[in-house]
Amino acid sequence: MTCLDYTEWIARMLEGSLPERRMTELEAHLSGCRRCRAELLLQKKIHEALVQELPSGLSADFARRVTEKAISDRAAEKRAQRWANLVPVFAFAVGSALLLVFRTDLARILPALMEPVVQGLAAPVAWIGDAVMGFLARAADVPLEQVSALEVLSRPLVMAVAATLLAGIPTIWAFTRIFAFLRE
Amino acid sequence: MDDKRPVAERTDEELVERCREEDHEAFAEIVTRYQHRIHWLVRRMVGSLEGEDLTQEVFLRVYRAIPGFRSGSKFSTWIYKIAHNLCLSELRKRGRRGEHLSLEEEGDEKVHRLLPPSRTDLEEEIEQLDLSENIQALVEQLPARQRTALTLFYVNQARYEEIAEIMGIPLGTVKTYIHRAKLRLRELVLASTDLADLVAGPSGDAVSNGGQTG
Repeated sequence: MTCLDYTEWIARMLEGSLPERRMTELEAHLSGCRRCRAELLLQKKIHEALVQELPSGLSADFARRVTEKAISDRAAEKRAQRWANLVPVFAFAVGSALLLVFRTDLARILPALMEPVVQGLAAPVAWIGDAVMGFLARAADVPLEQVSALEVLSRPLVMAVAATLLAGIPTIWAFTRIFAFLRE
Repeated sequence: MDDKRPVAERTDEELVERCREEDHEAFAEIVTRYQHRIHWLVRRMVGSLEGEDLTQEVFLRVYRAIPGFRSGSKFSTWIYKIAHNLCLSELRKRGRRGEHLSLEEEGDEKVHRLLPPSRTDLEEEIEQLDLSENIQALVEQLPARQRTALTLFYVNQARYEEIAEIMGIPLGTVKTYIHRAKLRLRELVLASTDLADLVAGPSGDAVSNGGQTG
């Protein structure tokens, strides 16, 4: 072992990570080596310099300024969020206004718009319907033909329900946004 | 029962709870409590320039993130992690701009200098050494990760496990960083004084005064 090795051991001892058996050996070496005793002193000086409380250099009113900025940022964020609530409402209102201005015949356009959707959904809905009927027939212990003979929902009724949902959901959503805006 | 203790007497976690209820006095107390420790960490990680602005940004992020603070976590670890991540982003930005303070680590640190065995007044000279003035400048010469681990350990008084969590690295790596940082710092201190003799080159080759026992 050389003083180079003991210099590392001294560092580990001050970090608290030198194993006990090496500690004994280091202490024995320190008692006979002036250079390593000076080394220990030097490393302690570095340690003290590292842990000393130093002035941070922050301005005296730092805490007050940061708190005020945090509060004002939060208020600005809330204001922005509040107005963001009205974006879908404005979009809905503008859409409605455009429909009125151009005298759009919704009764004609909506079925045309929904037709592809209805066509696309026909196959999965029929499959679900067949599965439900099969289940009901088995549960009620009646022939499937008897269940299948139930009257089919009329197409105008389905269209009316779909149109109501199409207009109703955005309207309800717009109202919830208006309430959110008023609440904030 | 309503707790009437002043904010200064409350624990960090109690202050966080009050911040969630928009108690601004509680947030101001958190800033007061941590401002210097965060500022030191920021300055040691990114250097002195923009230190106050970045420290302010740390606290603004803390304020925004407080609703997401998990009860049961240690607040100091959490706030240091926010500061550490912000400083890393800043260092990466500077790296992209071609500035110094990169995240690249240097190789294994070795002891290259030893104190001369023959000087009789050596201990007295070391005793009179005043490192308080230039320790900051010397620490700034360390590689970024070593500097961060060293600051968290000595200035922020974080434990090894906390440092590992804050820096997102294994426990063993934390210990290695701190050990290497201290050896390198020692070399820098000796290089800045006329106390030591160079005994080994950067490759470890002996040059003179070859580190013999005793």
